[in-house]
Amino acid sequence: MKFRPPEAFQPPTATGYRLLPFRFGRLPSRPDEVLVTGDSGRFAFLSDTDFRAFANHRLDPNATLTLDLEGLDLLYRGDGPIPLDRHAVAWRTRKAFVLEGPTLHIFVVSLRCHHSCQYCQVSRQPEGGAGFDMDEATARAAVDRLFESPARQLTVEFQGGEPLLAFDRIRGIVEDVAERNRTARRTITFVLASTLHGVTAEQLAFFREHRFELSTSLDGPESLHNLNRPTPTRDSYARTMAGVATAREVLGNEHVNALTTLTRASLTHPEAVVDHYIEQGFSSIFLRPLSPYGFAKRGLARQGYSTAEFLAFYRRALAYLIRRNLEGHAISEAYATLLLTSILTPFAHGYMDLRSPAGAGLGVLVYDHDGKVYPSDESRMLAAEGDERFCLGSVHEPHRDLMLSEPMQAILAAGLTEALPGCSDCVFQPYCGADPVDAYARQGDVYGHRPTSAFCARQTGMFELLFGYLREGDPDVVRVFQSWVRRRSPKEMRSERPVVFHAAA
Amino acid sequence: MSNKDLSFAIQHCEAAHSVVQRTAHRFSGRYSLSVEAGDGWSVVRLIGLVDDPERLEREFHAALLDDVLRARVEAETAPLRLLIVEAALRSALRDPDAGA
Repeated sequence: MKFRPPEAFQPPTATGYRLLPFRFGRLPSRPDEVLVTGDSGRFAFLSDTDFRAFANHRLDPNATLTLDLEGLDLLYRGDGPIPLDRHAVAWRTRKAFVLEGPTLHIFVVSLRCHHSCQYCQVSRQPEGGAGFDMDEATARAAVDRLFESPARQLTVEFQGGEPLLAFDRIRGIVEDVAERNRTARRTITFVLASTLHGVTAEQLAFFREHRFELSTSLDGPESLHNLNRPTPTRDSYARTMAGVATAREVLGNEHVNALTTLTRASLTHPEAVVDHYIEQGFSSIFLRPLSPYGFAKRGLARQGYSTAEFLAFYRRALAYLIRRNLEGHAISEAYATLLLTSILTPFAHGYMDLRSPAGAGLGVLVYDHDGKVYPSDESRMLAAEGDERFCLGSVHEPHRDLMLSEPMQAILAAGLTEALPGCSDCVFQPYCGADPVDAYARQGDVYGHRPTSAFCARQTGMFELLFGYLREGDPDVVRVFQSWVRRRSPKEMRSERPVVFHAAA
Repeated sequence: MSNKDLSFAIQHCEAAHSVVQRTAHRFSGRYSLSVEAGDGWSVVRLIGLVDDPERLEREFHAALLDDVLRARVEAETAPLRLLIVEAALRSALRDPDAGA
């Protein structure tokens, strides 16, 4: 563009500065202070008096606080036009995923599984069941769709059921992808989400050849894991750990990850769950609450818990994780790391469930075993219960048609936190996301209702917890958080007070 | 404790009707409510478990004050936010590999 628009040339107000877009709110633990967050993700804690002065243009333009707020992109003091390019780059950086197109492509190669977990959100089928595996024509069409995605970096994730029960299909898809990628030249990462029960040397050699990342489920100590994840032989834990050990030998520790699903039984043992992950040599733990989908819905009455109970658990677990890190055990909590990445860096975290615009369809596509395409795993779960409203179409339809389908229109309309009631003016909006499929599953409405949303309550609680730590500014805690964000050991990080915000006096 | 009915009126010179609606929305998880626009007034009615009506009304007014400020800041900064987003989109479409 040759000329800037007239608005960019407006001089500062008579008081010497212009406000840049921001949101504000208060933490329950510090009701006398105001948390201010800018669109760039930078933030400040201000006393109520300073905040009112700032927002009402009453700050001295040359005061230290004014200079600090300008440094945080919350106001502009210059006489000339606002440096639009700099702010545009910040915006573009945080929303870089928008123009990428779907990067995560999930292939559900089989619904069969040898587990019968109460909390399972997947529409699993018995191990010996017939007609629940992806056939070759479906697999090839799904690979067509994969390469129609404009994204240069693609993740191909294999899920089930238990995907290893259809290993030959995985092999066929990977070889097809590798062959086509000789000319397509995308950067492709393969991921397998598996129990790893009975994984063979041949399979692991194949995964090593194609640089797979393996992700398994480990719910904590043996008794808890076996309680949560029953098998007919009652040895789920032993078989999982055997699979983890073998996989680590072949692929290396860093390529074998685990996540935990929290049941009511888990909530009383945060320290034991964390310690178990440390004992087993994991460098990350993902404390995942139960999902309100599919089979899991039926187990909620017995295994479920309130958001308040989850947050109480999470608060305790996070405090313990920080302590263990400071004792020399480098282990991060995956969800906190995602949120902190968004809070402490200029970049978005990339997590599909927490994007605006929503990650469903725009960032992820799921190819079910029967050839149906969904915008997220959760919408596939709803379909398994008989609600097909989010099915985008068939794997044999071109990517463009899937993206223009009615369900995608609904997701786009309801997938912007910048426009949703209760989100648009939320102080945590720059770091949060919309998930219309989740809103529909929980509340029967893609737009959702934030004041009664468990998702919103959980997100708000976690943001309040993390910002509470940041406000306290304990250099050791900040060092641990920075180590998680930068994927380093806390020992490698310098201990210092964060300089990312202006703390109220 | 039984359900109680609490009503109060807010002058539009204090807060626009749309701002009162926004504040009321924040309370809609805890109470059944209605917001009606009258002649220069918004009338808010909250129905639910109210153990201290005066405290609830104070809480509503505190939230309303914040929302009045939010509306003012939003009006003041919205044109600039639009410019920034437009510039970001333009640069991303013009040069997909640069900037981010």
